[in-house]
Parts: sequence; structure tokens; C-alpha cells
Amino acid sequence: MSLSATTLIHKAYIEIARKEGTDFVDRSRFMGYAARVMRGLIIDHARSSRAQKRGGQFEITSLETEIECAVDDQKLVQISDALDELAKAEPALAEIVDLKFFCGFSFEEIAAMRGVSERTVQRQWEKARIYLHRSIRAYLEN
Amino acid sequence: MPALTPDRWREISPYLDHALSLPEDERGAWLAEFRTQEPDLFVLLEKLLEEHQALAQERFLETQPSRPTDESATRGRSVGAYRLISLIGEGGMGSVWLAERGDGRFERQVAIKFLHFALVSPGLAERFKREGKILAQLAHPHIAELIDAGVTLNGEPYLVLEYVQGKQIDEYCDDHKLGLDARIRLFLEVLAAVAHAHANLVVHRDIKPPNVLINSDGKVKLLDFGVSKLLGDTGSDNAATLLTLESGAGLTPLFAAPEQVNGGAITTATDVYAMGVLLFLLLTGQHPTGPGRRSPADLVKAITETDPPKPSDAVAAPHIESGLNEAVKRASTPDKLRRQLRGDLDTIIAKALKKNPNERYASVVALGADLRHYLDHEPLSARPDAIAYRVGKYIRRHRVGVTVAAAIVMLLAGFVVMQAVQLRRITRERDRADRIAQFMTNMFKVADPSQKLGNTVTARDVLDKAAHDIDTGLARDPELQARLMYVMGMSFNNLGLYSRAQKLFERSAQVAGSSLGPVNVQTLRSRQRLAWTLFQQGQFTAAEAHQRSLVEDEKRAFGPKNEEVIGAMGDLATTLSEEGRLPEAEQMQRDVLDVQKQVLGPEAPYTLSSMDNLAITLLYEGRLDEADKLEKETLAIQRRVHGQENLTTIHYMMNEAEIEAGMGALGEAEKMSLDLMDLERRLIGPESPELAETIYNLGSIKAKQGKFDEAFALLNRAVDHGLLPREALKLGEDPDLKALKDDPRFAALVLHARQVASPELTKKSN
Repeated sequence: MSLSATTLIHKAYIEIARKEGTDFVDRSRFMGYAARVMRGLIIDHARSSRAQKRGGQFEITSLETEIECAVDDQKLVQISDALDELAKAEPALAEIVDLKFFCGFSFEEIAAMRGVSERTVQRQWEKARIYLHRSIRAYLEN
Repeated sequence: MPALTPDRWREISPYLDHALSLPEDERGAWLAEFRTQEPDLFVLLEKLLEEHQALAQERFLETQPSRPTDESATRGRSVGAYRLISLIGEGGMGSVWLAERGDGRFERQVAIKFLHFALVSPGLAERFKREGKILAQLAHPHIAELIDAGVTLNGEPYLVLEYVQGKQIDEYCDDHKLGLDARIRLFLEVLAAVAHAHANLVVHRDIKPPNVLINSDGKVKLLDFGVSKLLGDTGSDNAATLLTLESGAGLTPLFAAPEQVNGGAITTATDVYAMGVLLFLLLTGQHPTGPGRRSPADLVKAITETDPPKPSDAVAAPHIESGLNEAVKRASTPDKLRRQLRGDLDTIIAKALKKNPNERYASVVALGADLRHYLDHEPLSARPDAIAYRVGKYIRRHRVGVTVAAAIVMLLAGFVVMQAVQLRRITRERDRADRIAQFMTNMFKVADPSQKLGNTVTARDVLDKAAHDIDTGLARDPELQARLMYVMGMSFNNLGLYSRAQKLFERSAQVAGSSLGPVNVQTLRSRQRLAWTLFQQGQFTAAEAHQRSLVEDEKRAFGPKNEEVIGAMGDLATTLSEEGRLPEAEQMQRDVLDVQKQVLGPEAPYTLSSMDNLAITLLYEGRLDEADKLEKETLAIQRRVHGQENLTTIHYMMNEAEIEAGMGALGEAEKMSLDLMDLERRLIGPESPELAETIYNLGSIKAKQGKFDEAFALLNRAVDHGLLPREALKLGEDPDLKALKDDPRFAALVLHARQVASPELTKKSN
């Protein structure tokens, strides 16, 4: 059983609360922050699960193992790095990837969080994908 | 292929935005133009768009990454005296584990609930344990026992709960196809558990189906008592933050009461509300805020602002198939289900779901008492909703449409305010404005429950008090007094309270006449309305006398072709028509119509209204072809100018259907009736007198066609769904139904109609 995004967000929230106190009044700001923390958790997990695979201690269960194009751990780390780059140029796009890809929020939910239309979110998502896709390919070709 | 530098990205980003926002077929043209303007950027943009196609095909980033799992890390772990066995579930608030005692002292399995959020607050451990101990004493057979509460070495709080294996109450009811009464009895068991907790000063705060289980013995078990309080009181954040977080994460506070959403005080009334939602769900299969997923913002709005539908209307919703399903699950049919809900159960649920906690049942015990009254066919303590107050009488002969009085208090307030504002603008008198404000304040003071015994204040109570206040409070300002009496009279009139309206119009005319003079607009309007109210009460002779003298006075004051004069003559003609003085009425109506066509124009609402009135006179005269032609003409203009979905259009259609039926054009009348039923159901409501009348008329058409089964079904339906009492009582003598008279079902229908129409007979009969 893999943990739900909600639970992870809660864990993320606890992380934040411990470090910085709990005065996150603005929910969308918190969500943006939480989503970044969430990515961190997933990437940590990806890194450590690669280590575990090598060590053979645990059997990794994943809901998506049977899906052909599931993102492998290696690629996840690259995506994360590329996202950090994207955040420098257009932070809003990077946040959408955090929320959508890493946290599993729907376009509808993200639009509500940010007070923009679903179409806008969708367009930003497409742009972010273009950016990331190119980054990953550039990485593979080098 | 190089990755994009931040600078390069910033440069291309706006164009990419634009290209992606264009529809496929417009993109090419724009790109061609872009190519000439920015040849360098164009190359990159084109590549990126190509790449977009490719990545869409390989479904890039569409599958989410696997998330960390920590079950394996946690399984077997010891928590207090317990050892975790397996993860049972996860919710917004935390995860729940099946566990057993590690020391082997008891065989019993328990559920351990970890509360993620509680971690946030420092120094909470002690209080958490203390609260847990209080909850642990809440022993009741229908409440899942709280065995222990504690905090792990990591600082993670947990609750040890009785492990209940069971089904959610709604699923249990559906699986067992429990009828409404059985569902209510089960619900009463839940209420008993909640009442026990309330008596011990514990509020649940989170009652919803997943927390109300029925175990294998068919016994109710309520879970998580007081848990959300433990949560809500923990961190520095309040419950509102919890809620927003929850909804932000895709969960929805479907069972939250308005005060939980907008940060009000949480009391036992909060549980009364949640129990109301649960009852609504159990009885109708729907949630009071309606079907479908919504954004958190919409849901909050629905919870705090939108009045829930009546349960009986909810099951009559347009999804016929699901309506059938829900009915089958309740061992019922959609029609029967609607009938069962209508009345007492509608009233009980409406009272539990009041937005204002003070207007709800004072306790779950009181809610339970009314449900028992319902089961025992005894009168309720709750009174029907003031808003549901309906127009008592439907008039098809009208100057303008008589509208159904929905949300009448609101309407009234708006009306009076509008009038007051107008007055203020006209007079620019400060003290008068103050007096209006004072008056308005007093008028709505009665809506404050402390001013009156009983909890519900009807629109009528408000009006009665207002009428009294006008008389006493505004004596020094006769102009305003006359104006407001007129406004109040209109409101009573809209409520169908004609004799009260009549008194106000009389007083208004009197006051205006003596202070403003006999030819003042206010004086004349009040007189005109007074006469129309008499007409509406069937006092045709008195109405006629008033209307005649009014026409004379107005003619003298304004000349023969004045709008007011014509209006008064139109009213007089309608009275004559109802009195059976048809040739005189017809002549006058034709005169009125001629002037109106010149003065107001051939498509003006009043002109159309006069055409409709004339058509009815022609119908009374038996000149059916002429009536039909004129009504069709009226209807064509009305539809063109105002559209199909308009109350007045509906009224003209009803008249046309009647004319067609009178002509024996049964096919056309049937078709018109079916169109009307659809319009009326959508625009006026499933229980409106208009819809009932159309169903009745369709029934009489079927009777004439010899389709008796259909006729009886329709007539019974009309009787059960809002047919006006005066029509229901006369059903036995309706010549349109004479074909049915020899059928044995007819006597039963007449009796049933009488019982429904006359409340004294009905109470014990079902």
C-alpha cells in the first residue's frame, strides 16, 4: 500500500511546522511549499529505494509497476533537478509540476488553490512538460 | 539538443503560452505571421511545439511516481501495550491500524488511530492523554469504546479504539432494502448514542457515514467520538485550518455544519446538523447540497448560504433512473417515496438543517422525539418552514401574472426597501428617511425568535406586525403611511391573504384620499387594488361597484385614453365576464384593446393580457373558434417577445389548452399539456398548483378519450401534488370528468381528493 498524497502532505506539514512554526496563513502558499517538500520526500525515497534494491533488503511495492511508462527512479531525480532549474525561470510552472505530478492534485484542485481557471493551469502544465521533456532529453544525449 | 537556459526560456515563454492557448486551426496562421516577425524565435518555438506533440504521445509525466511506503517499516512495531498487525485505512486525519495486545493478557483486537495533525502542537501530550481519559469513560452500547490514548516515543499521538467490523449505515440500509420507517428506527439508535455523549458534555463534531457502522449483529456503533475535538484543540491552528487543509487536499467537508465552515462556535447543535445531513442521505440517497463533485469554495458556499432542497423534491429530481434506484433500495417507488417524505419528514429535516444553530432542534433528543411523533402519526413540534408558505389561490384572470410567493420575506424586504429608497429620493427629507429605517428595523425584529414563542416566524407574522406598525408608527406621515400600506397590501395579496390585503388597501385609499386628495396616483392605485382584491375573493358585485366609480373618477381626472383608465376598465370588464355579463364584457374588452394597441403598442404586456382576457370571454360565450384564434395569436406574440420559459407564457398556454379541450381538439390539448408539464415542473416547481392543474386537465382529456387507467393515475397524481383545495373539493361535479362517473374508482378518487383538500379529515387517515 502506498501512502496517499494527503498523508504525505500531512507529513510535509509536520516537517514544516517543526522547522518554521505554523503560521502558514495562505493556503496556496502552504500548498506550494508542501508540494516542494513532498517532491523532496519522493526523491529521497527514490534515492533510498535504489539503495535498497541494491541491498536487496526490501521488496518495493508500487501501484504503477505494471504500467509500462512508469517513471523510474533515475529519471525522477533528473526531473527534480530540471524542476529546480525551471523554478529559476518561471517558478509558477515548477509549482504546478510539484502539485500535479508529485502530489497528484487535479487541474481542478490546483485551479481552485490558485484562483485561476482550469485552462490556465492546463496550459502552464503543458509548458512545464515541454521544458522538462527537453531537459531530460538534453541530459540523455550528453 | 541543449537544455533551455533560464534566459532563453523567459524569452520564448510568452509566445509558447500564446501558441498553446490558440485552437488548433488558428495556430498555423499565427505561426506564419510570427515567422516573419521573429524568424529566430520561430525556429525554437516550432521545435518546442513539435516536441509537445511527441511528449503527449509518450504520455510524458502522466503517470505519477510511486510514493514512499512505510507500512513495512511500521508493521510489527509496538505502541504502548499493543503490537501493530496491519494497516486498516488512511484518512485525512491519520492512519488506522489493526493491533493486538503485545503482552498476551487479552486476546482482543483493537484499532489504533494515529493522528498526524496532533504532532504540530508542542506540549500537547499531557492534555491529549487527559482528554482521552474523559472520552474513555463514555460507555454506551452504541458507541465504539475508546480504550486508551497515548503518545508514542516519537511524539505521535494515538487512540486505542474498540475494533468494529461492520458496514456503513447507508450501505447497510441499501443492502437490506430497508424502508423509510426501518431506516428511521435505525437512525434513532444513532441518535440515542449521540444523546448519551451530549449528556456527558462530549460533542462528536464529525458524524458521517464512515463513522456510523452497523456490526454483524445489526447493532449501531458510532466511531470516533470527540476525536476531532482532540484534533481541533491541539495545535496553534484552529479547526478552520484543518478544514481548509483537508479540502485543499481534495477531501470535502460534506458533513460540516455552517458554523464549522465559517469558524463559529461548535456546540451540540453542530451534531444536530450533521445528524440532519445523515438523515437526509439515508432517506433520499442524496446529499443536501446536491449531487456531483464540486470545488471546495462552491461547497462552502452551498453549506453556508444555499438552503437545502426539501427531501421530497430531492427524490423528484430529474435523474429518473437514479430516483428509481433510490426508491427500490427503500422498498418503494419514486412516487410513493416522494409522498412519504412530503410533509412531516420534510419539516423535520429542514429544522435540523437550519443554517442558524439556534433555529435547529434544541437537542438531538428533540429531533428524536419528532421522528417518533412521525412514526406514531402524531403532530410534530416543528412547524413547517415559513419560506414554504404558498399562495393559497391561483388566478388565471389577471392584469399581470400572479407570481408564486417563494422566499416571500426576502422579496418583501426588497420591495419595501426599494419603495423607501424611492421615497427618500423624491422627498430628500432626512427625518423621513430615518422613520423608514426605524420602521424597517421594527418590522424585522419579529424575525428574532426571542420576540415570539415558538421557533418559526412566518412571513405572515412579519407582515401582521408591519401592518400594525404602519398604522400606529407612521401616523404623522400620512403619505408614507399610505404608500407602505399599499406595499404591505401587495405583499399580503401575493401570499393569497386577500382579506388582510383588502383591509390595507382600504386604509391606504382612505389615508391617501384625505391627505393627498382624491385624484392622487396613490389614492387611485390603492382603490384599484382594493377592487381587484374583492374580485379575487369572488365578491364580484362589490368589485364591480368599486371599479365603475374608479373608472368614472379617473376618466374625469385624466381623460378617456389614459393608461390608468384603460387598466381600470380592463379590470371592470374581467369582473363583468366572470359575472356572466358576457356581451357587455366583450364590448368593453374590445374597446380597451383598441386603445391599448394605440397607446401601449400591439405587443405590450397589458395589451396581450387584454387579448387573453377577451379570448376567455369568447370561450365563455361558446365562440370557441374565435377564442382559439385570438389565444393562439396572443400566445405567438408572447412567445416571440418573452420566450417560452416565462410565467405569463405558461398562463396563456394553460388557457389555450383549455380552449382546445373545449373544442374537442383533444390531441392538440394533450400535446400542449405535456409541454406545459415540463415547463411548469422546471420553472415553477414539482408541487405547484399550476402543474397540478395541468395534470388534472390532462387527466380529464384522457377521460374524454376513454383512457380511464391513465385518467385515474393522472387525477390522483394531481390531487397528491398540490391541486388547489377548491378544485379538489369540486372534483366530483366536474362535467369534464363525467365519463368516469360509472367507474368504481371514481368514488375513491373523490373521497381521496376531499381528504387531501380538507386537513381535518386527513391527519389520521394515512
